[in-house]
Amino acid sequence: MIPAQSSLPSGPAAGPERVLGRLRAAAAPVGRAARLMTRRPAGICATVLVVLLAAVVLVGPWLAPDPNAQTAAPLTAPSGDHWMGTDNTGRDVLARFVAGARISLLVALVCTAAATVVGTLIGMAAALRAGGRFDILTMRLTDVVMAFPLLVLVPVLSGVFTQKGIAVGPVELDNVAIMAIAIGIALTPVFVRLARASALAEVRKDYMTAARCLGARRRDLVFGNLLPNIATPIVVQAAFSVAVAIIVEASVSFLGLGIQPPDASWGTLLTDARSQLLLGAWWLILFPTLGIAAAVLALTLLGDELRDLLDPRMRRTFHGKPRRRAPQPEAATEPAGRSADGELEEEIR
Amino acid sequence: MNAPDAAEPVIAADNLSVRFPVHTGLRERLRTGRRQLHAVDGVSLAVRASETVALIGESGSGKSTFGKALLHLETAHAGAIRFHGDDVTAATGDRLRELRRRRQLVFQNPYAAINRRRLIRDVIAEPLRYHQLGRADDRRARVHDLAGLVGLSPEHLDRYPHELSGGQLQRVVIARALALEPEFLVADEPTASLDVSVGAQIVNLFADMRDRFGLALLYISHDLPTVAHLADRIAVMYLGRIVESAPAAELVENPRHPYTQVLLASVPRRDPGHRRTAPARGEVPDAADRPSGCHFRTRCPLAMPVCAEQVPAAQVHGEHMVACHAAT
Amino acid sequence: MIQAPTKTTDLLAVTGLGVAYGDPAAPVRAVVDVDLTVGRGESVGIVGESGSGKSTLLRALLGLHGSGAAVSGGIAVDGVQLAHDPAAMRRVRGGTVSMVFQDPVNAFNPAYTLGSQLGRLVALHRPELGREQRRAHVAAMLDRVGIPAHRTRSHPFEFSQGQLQRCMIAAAFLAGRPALVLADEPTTSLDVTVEAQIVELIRDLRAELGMSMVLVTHNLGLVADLCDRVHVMYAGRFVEHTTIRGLFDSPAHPYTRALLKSAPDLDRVRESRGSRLPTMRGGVPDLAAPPPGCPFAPRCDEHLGEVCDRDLPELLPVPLMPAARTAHGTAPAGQASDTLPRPGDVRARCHRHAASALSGGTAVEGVKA
Repeated sequence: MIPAQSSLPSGPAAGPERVLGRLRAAAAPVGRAARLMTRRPAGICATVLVVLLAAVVLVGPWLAPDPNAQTAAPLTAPSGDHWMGTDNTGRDVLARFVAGARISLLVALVCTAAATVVGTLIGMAAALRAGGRFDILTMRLTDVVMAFPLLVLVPVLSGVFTQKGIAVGPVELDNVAIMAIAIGIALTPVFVRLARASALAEVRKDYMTAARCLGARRRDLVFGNLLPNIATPIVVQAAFSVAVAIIVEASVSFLGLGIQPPDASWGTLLTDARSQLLLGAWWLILFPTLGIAAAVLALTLLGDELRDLLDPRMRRTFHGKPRRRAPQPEAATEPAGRSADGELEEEIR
Repeated sequence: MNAPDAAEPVIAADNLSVRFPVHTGLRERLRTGRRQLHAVDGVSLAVRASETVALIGESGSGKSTFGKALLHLETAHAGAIRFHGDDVTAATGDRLRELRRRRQLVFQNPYAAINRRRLIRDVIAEPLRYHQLGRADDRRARVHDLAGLVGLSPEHLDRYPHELSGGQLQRVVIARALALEPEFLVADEPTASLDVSVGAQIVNLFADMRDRFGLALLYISHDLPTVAHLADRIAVMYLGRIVESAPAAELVENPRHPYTQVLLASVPRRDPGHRRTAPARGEVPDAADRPSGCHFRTRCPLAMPVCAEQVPAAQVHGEHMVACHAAT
Repeated sequence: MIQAPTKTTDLLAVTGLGVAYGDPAAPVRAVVDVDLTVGRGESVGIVGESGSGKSTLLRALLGLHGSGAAVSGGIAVDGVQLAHDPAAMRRVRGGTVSMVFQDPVNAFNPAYTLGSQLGRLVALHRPELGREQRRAHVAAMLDRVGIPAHRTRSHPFEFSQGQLQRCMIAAAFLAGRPALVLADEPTTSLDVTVEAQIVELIRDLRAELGMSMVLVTHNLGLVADLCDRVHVMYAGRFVEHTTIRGLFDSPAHPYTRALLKSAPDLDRVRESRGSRLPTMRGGVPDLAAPPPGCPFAPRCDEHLGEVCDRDLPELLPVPLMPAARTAHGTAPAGQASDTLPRPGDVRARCHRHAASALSGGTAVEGVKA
């Protein structure tokens, strides 16, 4: 028999170092993907658009004038003084566009982030108890929520509470918060489903068995092994969901149920524009529409690019540009599965 | 724990059974009740230190399930698992983690057994991290030692799994299993996904590690020639039961169970004069629907009426066990 | 059933075949300069490990190599050149030349019953049959391979792997009137007792119908069961050509010898136990940047020095050792004596043989030690 554990002094490694190491390891693929992205045309488009939007949100308000100040004559067309013209009460459209972008994007980002985190956790928990009571209950609940179209669910949820407003303890929830929660609830089931399905496929794989066998605790299993391997589809879905959230917020605000005038969002800007369109004020409708389109396009491109670049096969430890996978003659033509031969040939390539 | 006795098994299964529920339609469930698949059915087997016991059988024989059940990776439905004589069948929590450290598994497909998002270095260090053994630099040194032990060079450590060949990855899996200095190792078809020449290297590595660390090795395989070369004892499994077990050379030269004889006759030979004929008809039946009595009777050339009625009892002749009505 | 051979040409004649993938500037040469002939009624094995290019070679023979591959050289079936003629290739595929794949489960479309899939094949290759005759033919095909005829209405998932492999063999051997069957690891996904059944089935069908076969496998035992002669492939090239008897009794190439030794032999268990298996060091070379000399040189135990690292050896005839003919005494009953190697039958790509062929010495003796 061998002496038990003689060669290694036992004891926990330094705490902060470990946490930092884990964070670095978790962030590494995203960083690598970001670097690779700047080398592909679609990636460049997405990056430029995202940077522009971020600039509008972060820096815009300090440069643009007060969105509610009536600074000029009503309904002037775009000019040197007012790049996007003014609205029917003489407010600067650019200022309102920037302020609206801030609210629209922040609402979308916060909702999606919350939905992603909550949905993924619930989904993984359901997958680990697959077939159990928690799993079944969760699945039926997501079915119920998903049965309603987003554009019905969110207005109903926010519409009911907008009139009276609600207070949770000392926190008074305003319109924006209520709508954000409504959007968040509506977006969550997608992530629950996605996380559960991905996790179910992964849980059965040998490396999860190996981790169990090697003595991984539950949190090692879930956050160290499972999460990194299901993260890719979830991150991609998150990018698409932000786009959806922007559209939903704009639509709901356009209907007058979300963000209320005089607060600006891209949706309320469109509401304002509706009545003025007959008067020929095209700029009122053009710019918010462009903003929404650009944001949605950027996020969709981003999602597509992430899907490609987070694929671990794009990773090579030796430097140089990543090799895209060579065409696979076997896979394309062979009705049979991967032969032992094909496997190595792929490796060689 | 008692003083270690050389003859005392490191691990022993005592009448171990593993069952899985079979998902059937509602109508069938109402008619026949819930069905169960007896993947492992009353298997007893012991492995001593420095000993290799091989478990062979075709797909559906339950050999992998048995190996996993010994490691608490499948739940035993009945019977007992003894580790150094202690009944550990119901171990949980910290006790189970401690036991896990001392019993390890090497997988059939090294590609699937490794988290593809980690560097090789981190893969090998994984168990050290889980058990919080050593400080960062200790672990680093340990990973280097382990890599050297299994024949990997230091530059392999900073690669990703997809950059290594199957044989190299299997070495990684073995290094990872050895990191915890286990006393018992299950190798589940470790060469099935590898080329012959690479498989031979891995088989040699197992023999080296067994001799060097006094490992108790359970080697699960369907490859009779390799198993006959490596193992001290061979147990033949068919549909959840062990039908014959004997010292390796004895089993190959003097098989007593018709199924073992069929397996031996099915192995391709190097002799161009030897032309294989099919020694058994049909295929292994569905494990959820096993024949009564002796499970092999539907394919057995020696089947008799009694085979359908009674489960054959184990006959022990010295170290040779066989469970067959026709064997004497 | 088979049309009488009217030409004296070989059924399959492959000359200088090459398959390369990827970047044309730095191609991965999966198959390099392969010559292969298969006569009527003959069965030829191609043996190699992963990455040797054996499956790529087989697929290229039927033009199944995919659009990413560049194929050079000639492929003639029945004297008709097919290599750069996709239309001619299509006519031959499944008709004169059919194929058995490794994985029977994925070779059938899960959406249709087996009977309809086989029926469609029969309709394609035997258009003269009417609807009822076709149905009868499918039933007869299945019956011949041991599947009850009523199972034509079952879907692929209702069959076991072994049964599906039988069905695929029925499709390849019996649906049309093939003169040549290409088999790619036909038993690798099967259990050993089922493998023995499939081997027996293929052998019986060939004895009955007389078609030729090219069998690609890593399993030397399977070649012994089913083939008359064999090519050993390494790093995209044929490194040895020999008869089955020659393969086991007097392998000529160091790679073949190492391959044979690395798998334990069930008949010699008592001798080998306790020792380690002989292995080859390292792995197969990178086909995108192969070594300049002999591809096996870096792993070879019988390395001659500089010449092996520098020059690629030719595939040359190996002078026979007398022992090669006598190791197993006389040929066993039921086996044609022409499976014994004759001078010129055995060719190897190795500098040892090249050197001794020039000096007229006995080559195999020197390396046997």
